[in-house]
Amino acid sequence: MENLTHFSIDKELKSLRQRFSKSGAFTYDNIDELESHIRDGYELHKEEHSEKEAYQLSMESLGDPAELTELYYKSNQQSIWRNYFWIISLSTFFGLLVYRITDFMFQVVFTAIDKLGISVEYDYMDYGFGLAAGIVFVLLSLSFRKRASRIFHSLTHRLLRRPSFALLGVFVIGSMFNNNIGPSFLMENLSSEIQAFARSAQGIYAMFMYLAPLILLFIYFWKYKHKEYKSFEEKLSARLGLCALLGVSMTIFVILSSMILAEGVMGLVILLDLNVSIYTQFAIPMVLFVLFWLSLIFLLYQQPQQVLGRLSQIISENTMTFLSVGLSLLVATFLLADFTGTLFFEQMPNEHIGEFFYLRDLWLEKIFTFFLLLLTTIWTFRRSKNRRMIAWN
Amino acid sequence: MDKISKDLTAASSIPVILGILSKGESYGYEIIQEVKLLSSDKITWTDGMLYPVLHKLEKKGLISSQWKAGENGRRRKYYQITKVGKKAQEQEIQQWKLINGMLNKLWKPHLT
Repeated sequence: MENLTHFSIDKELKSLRQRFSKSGAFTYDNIDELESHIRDGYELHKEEHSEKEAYQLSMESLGDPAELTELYYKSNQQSIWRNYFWIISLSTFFGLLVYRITDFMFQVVFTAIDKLGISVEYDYMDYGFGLAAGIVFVLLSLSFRKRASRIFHSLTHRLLRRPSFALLGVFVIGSMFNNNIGPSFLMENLSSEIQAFARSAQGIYAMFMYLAPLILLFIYFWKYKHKEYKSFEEKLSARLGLCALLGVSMTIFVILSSMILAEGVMGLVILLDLNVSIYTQFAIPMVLFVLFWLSLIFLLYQQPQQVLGRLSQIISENTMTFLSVGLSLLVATFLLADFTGTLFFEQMPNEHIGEFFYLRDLWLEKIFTFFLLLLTTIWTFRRSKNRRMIAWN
Repeated sequence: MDKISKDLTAASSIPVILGILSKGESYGYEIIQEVKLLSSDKITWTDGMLYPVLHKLEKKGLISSQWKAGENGRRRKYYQITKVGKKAQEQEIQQWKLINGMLNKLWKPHLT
């Protein structure tokens, strides 16, 4: 009886790509290249064999899968880990930059509203602004898809080849928009009620949580699943989309985890009426925070393929579950932070609140980002010393 | 003649790749076909093993790569030799000439 199963090279290659991807030993670029190679062999063998046989012959010529995986694993061990490190570092900076710019825009808008004497319901302003900022943010990200000018192309290309300079630039720009340097003069002229509201991050959270991540997540998966890069700009756009997406997640994660740790520990100290200085109280969550990051970096450094390969497998195979669980966790974390924060601020003497914010912003934002910047700079110099190219793959 | 041994194949892979690319840009599958043709099928590389070698050379800056659409519109990753690669190739030529000369002297009685 004739075999009714129709052979499809595209279907076979899709499945093969997933298997390569799951192994964690291959970069996306490697998988593209191997697919191209298999198609070349397939086209050649098809002249003398059936489609299925041609595919099998082409696959056999690649060699033993276990040996191949091992070879690619060794070849990519460093670059895969580094790529993820760059993405995580850039993402954190990108997220903080977005946070600061949005904060700046937020305050400018509220200054204007206050000066014009317009009365608007806070809730509507809050979510309206968040939505508008989200749309602007997504449009800006999408604008990178358009063909950029030669200068932009050259600059971004250079920056991508020198991540430490890119990070430094983002760090400097981000600092310029910092509350303490930039828009603080605006705040002084506002009424106390507006000040209190403007300082809240509701609008930013609304933007992060409702619009931007979903659209960027869609762009990210669409780009990576279909691998439709046709130009440098498109690749850059996908990278920025990925950085922005991770940046948003990382920013929320950094801010919320610092809030939970700092406010939780300090709230506990107040509740138990322990006689400990505010600096010591702050040292405990800081140590926990740094330990967490060091453990994460150590884990990734030791077993990048196993950890990241498994992670990418889970995400690619269970996109919807990942999305729903991720968002639920995000909301739960947000609510938890809100709860511990309320508990903490109710108990904390007013004179310590300003100091707390100063310490939290200083340590958890500036020093953490500076720490990442330092690490990436050292690695960049080490690499240039070894005359190795930065592989974004 | 039997097929070339694995060790010798591995040792000659870099000068062979640089030599092929010095004639013009090429992609993985084409490089393998070229090797088969040049060696009259005496040297057979396992296809998948070629790419890590190419990536290693790229990391060293001896070759560069670029994705391009071929004649049939399908994208392939093309490799080109760089200036550093050309210098490395010159060194390889000198070294292989030396080995070749040395072996010729040693084997002269057997060759005549």
